[in-house]
Amino acid sequence: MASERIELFRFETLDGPDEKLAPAIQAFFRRLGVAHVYDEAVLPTLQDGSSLVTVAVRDRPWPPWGIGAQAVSALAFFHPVSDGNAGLGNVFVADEEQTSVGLIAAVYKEALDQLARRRVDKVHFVVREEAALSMHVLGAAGFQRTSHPFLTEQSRYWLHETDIGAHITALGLQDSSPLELLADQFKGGAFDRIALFLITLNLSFLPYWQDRLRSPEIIPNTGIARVAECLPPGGPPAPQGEETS
Amino acid sequence: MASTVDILLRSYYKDFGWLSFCLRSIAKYCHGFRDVVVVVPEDSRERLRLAEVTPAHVQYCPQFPDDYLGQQVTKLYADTYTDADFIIHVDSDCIFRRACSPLDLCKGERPHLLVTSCSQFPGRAPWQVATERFLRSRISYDFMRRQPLMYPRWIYGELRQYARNLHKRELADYVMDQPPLGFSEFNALGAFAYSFYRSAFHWVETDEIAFNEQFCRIFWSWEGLHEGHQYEIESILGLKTALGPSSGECAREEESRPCE
Repeated sequence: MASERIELFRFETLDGPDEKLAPAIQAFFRRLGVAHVYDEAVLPTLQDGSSLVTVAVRDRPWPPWGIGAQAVSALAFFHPVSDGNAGLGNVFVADEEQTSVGLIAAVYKEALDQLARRRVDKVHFVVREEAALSMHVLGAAGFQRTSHPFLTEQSRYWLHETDIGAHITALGLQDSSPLELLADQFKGGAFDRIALFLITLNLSFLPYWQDRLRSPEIIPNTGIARVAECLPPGGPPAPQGEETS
Repeated sequence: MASTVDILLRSYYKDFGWLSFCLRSIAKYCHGFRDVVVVVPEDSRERLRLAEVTPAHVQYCPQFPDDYLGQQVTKLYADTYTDADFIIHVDSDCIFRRACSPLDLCKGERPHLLVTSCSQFPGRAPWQVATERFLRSRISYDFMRRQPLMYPRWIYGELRQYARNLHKRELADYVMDQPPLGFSEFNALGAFAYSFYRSAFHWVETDEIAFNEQFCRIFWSWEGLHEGHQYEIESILGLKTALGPSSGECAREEESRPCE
């Protein structure tokens, strides 16, 4: 029942280290089999203030204090966050909530709302060239490929960017609060759009965190948000088939 | 009774299932009360709407990092949420099971307060240490023996002033500084009343260490509103007649024994 879901979860957003929630977040990543994500990505970027983490937390019925009193069920990790720009990410989800679109959408929307409150107006993903599924789904979610490349040893990636408001509207979430989504109250067909988007994000992003693929479709922007500062004096390298200016 | 009496419920988002049942039991069994005021923290506002719980009067209290202590603070400031002469406290997980009016809960203008000697409890009365730490004096009784509980509105301000004088800080700050399970609002109110305003209440001593369920079936919300509880609550709400008469015939009121 929707009312039971509302009673089960609360949301917390961190933009710095949080001693109280740290054990629950660490345990969450450990149970997902990606414990290193906390040590290698989440904690360092919280410490330097360059990330935003939103979690859905369940509190133990009794006692609500002590070891194991909080459990994380879903977590959005957005990095880097700076100067009006933010790299988005997937929502990590506990196994028992993998199909809980309402919960996952609620965490994602809460994280986006928190970015907007912090005056972020541009958001982006880093997407592999010719990644058909991700490009299609992100395109439907408002993203457009920019001319900013991101090169790994294996593949060429491009920054896909949009206004945060346009992204929220493209997903049909502009009139939905996180709590309404948690209660599975989706407006006007948004359920299909958001479910496809979030599931694709997970499929495309998780292999990076799990070290399973050499060239996942989406990778985090582990550089800086203001990509143009990294460009060589002559501008970005041209895509294949185009002449360099 | 010429004075006004309001029922005040402090709840939060995890207890809205219970709250819904509690409000229905109040509607069914309670009469003679002026108003029912539900107080929830600000972050429960939208959840209250989504849970489709629609009390007639809702007020919003501050958000507390630890709501177990925070909800106690709200109750200790009950006089700021209602201007009634007397305030009835009942928790969301308490379900009225028989007719109840203000006259059942007081003798004249003196609210009943049930007490049980600390010596009755095996080991130690559960809140004795916390209450003695607050009052900085020994107590002989446990004062949280049943729900609902009735207090005159003036006592809340007196208690807050006592905290300022004794602990040099606001009562809310004192409570929130306590460790988990480190404070009991109804024991603090009761012990304070017994120590300083004894004649303003009608004291009824009972040897029972279990909660008195004369008016309310008392559940424990932390257990969850499972099927067994729901069945029992629905049975209570489905009774066609209340269990026993109300007004002035507070069943089996014992002779008040002199309390030390």
